[in-house]
Amino acid sequence: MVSLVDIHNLKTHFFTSEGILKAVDGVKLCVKKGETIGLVGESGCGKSVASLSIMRLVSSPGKIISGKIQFNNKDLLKISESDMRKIRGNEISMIFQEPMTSLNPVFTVGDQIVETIKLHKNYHKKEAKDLTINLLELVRIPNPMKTFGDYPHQLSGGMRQRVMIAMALSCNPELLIADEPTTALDVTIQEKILKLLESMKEKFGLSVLFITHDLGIIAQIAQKINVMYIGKIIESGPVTDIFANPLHPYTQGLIHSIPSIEKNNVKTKRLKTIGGALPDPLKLPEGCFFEPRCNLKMDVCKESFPDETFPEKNHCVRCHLYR
Amino acid sequence: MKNAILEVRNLKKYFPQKKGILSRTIGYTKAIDGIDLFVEKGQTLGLVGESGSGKTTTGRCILRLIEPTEGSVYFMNKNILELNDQSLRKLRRKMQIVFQDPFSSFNPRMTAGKIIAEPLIVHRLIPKMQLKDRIKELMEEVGIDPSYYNRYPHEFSGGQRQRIGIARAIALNPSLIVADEPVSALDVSVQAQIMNLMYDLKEKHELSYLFISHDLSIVKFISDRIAVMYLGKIIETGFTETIFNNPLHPYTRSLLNAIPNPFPDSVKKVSSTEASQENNSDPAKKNSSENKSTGCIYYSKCSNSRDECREAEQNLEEVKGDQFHFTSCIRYDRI
Repeated sequence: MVSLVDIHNLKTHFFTSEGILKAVDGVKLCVKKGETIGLVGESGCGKSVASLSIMRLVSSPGKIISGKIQFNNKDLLKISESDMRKIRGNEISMIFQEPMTSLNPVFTVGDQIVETIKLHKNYHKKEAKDLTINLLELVRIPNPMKTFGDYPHQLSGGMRQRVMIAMALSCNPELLIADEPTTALDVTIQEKILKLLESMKEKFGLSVLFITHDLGIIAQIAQKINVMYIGKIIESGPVTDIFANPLHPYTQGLIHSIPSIEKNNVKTKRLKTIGGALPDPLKLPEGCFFEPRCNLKMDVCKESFPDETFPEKNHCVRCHLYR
Repeated sequence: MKNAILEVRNLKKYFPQKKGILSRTIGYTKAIDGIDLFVEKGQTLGLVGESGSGKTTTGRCILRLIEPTEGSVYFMNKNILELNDQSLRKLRRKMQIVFQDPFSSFNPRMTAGKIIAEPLIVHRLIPKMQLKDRIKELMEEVGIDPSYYNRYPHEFSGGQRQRIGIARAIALNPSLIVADEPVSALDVSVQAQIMNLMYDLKEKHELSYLFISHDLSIVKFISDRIAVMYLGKIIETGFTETIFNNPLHPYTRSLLNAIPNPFPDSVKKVSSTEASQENNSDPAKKNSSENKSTGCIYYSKCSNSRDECREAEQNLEEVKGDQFHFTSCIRYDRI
């Protein structure tokens, strides 16, 4: 398979008055054509900043320091802003977590989708409108003609997320970045949106970068997982490997802290947790960032941040346990 | 078997819909439409449902934070809907609430210590001299460093704020805590910590919880019994194991099926064929809570519905041969 996006050593830092906050610090990520890649982590670990960096939407005081984002043989970090605008929403599009705040409340949803189409494609108003109605129908909005003229507040959360998906698909993108698209939704609606994304993926031959903190969703839709912890990817590999055999203590903790309806923890009445909380990103420990919370720590963990090792084929981990 | 600390009978809450400049009432939204439930001493009842099903309204009616339209709420054998303000205030000590959003449920200008102290001051339960010690004790109990006494809410993370919310709720030694989606705004790892804390506190103080959530896997962890709510009605209730092993109402089944399962040996991959067959479950077809007085409320979304469902009266009926398991589906034994 050909890789669509290849990210190398991406660093996005925020220059705050209290110091340099390394939100993304040397991330390596690769999305192949037609694949769904999951990016998992707790809030504050930098997963959203990583996705915004791909779109070059990081705003001050944040700055992309270094790295390479190879997309279709172009380095997105080297091209001009006007070239980048042609890519945004066209070849790469994005769905956000909160569909209410990412739609404009004073325009109808139809107009907002038409705007995207007219900006990127050479369409007449009429053609753009027809395409929009087709798209709304495609994302299974029951009455697309009527919904075209609705304002965002007239739609439910699930419907708004469908509109967002329609908008993201309007210019046949190659890469779709979905940043926690179902976090604000109920389980039943979440299931429908995930199914919709899956069918759209097959229909359009999309590649998806799926960002979430919910490992359950990742297990359902992704082929590969990247686990992120304070700006660094600490484990990556195929879904089945990571769930069957998580290597990094953090990944193990994440997987075990999910209250599952399958696991019979009714009797034990305790959930496994990861002790402590994320360290202050401005005062990071010298060695491994996970060392203060880790229950398998060794002396060497205090000294240096571990490099990548491949204990299994395609399964990469950054932990001193596997040196 | 009932040793109920809380018993709710035929509770209703209708919100009027107003229209026009004279704001005439043109109809009612039936947020809660006649529900019965009870919480036993020292036990947890999980109240599950999707957003808009009326679970939060139920929680608030029970504490009388909003006035119900009809029905009765017996808390420690007193109907709290008939109490006057003074006796209600006395009883409120024994019932507390933990809110969903730890970001908006605190006054941003009060320090953590003040927030936890407020209920103690309002109810004048503790001499001023001992107040600070008691607060530090509470902070320690919920796992917050007492040296954070003078910090403001914005200086805490989501999980820590929820701990402060819990400390505030247990400050008065209540018997019942209504927990309204206490962990849904938190990450999984933090979520597990808070759930463990709530479980430990329950054991230690013999608390009873009414645990409101849309997440069945969490409810399963903490609840002894579960009630499933749909459009203002309870459509199935029973012991936790019963509901998970033998769900009878089609809606309960669809809820259980919708949970993403993180353990790949049993992972059901979402297939596109399944997706294209996505049937009559469009939210637009969802019968809104305003209309229809007879027939099954789940009729239009149910894949097993028959004509009889449209007509029949839907009441919670005890399942034959399964004590304490109630469902409102009239065809439960045939589907």
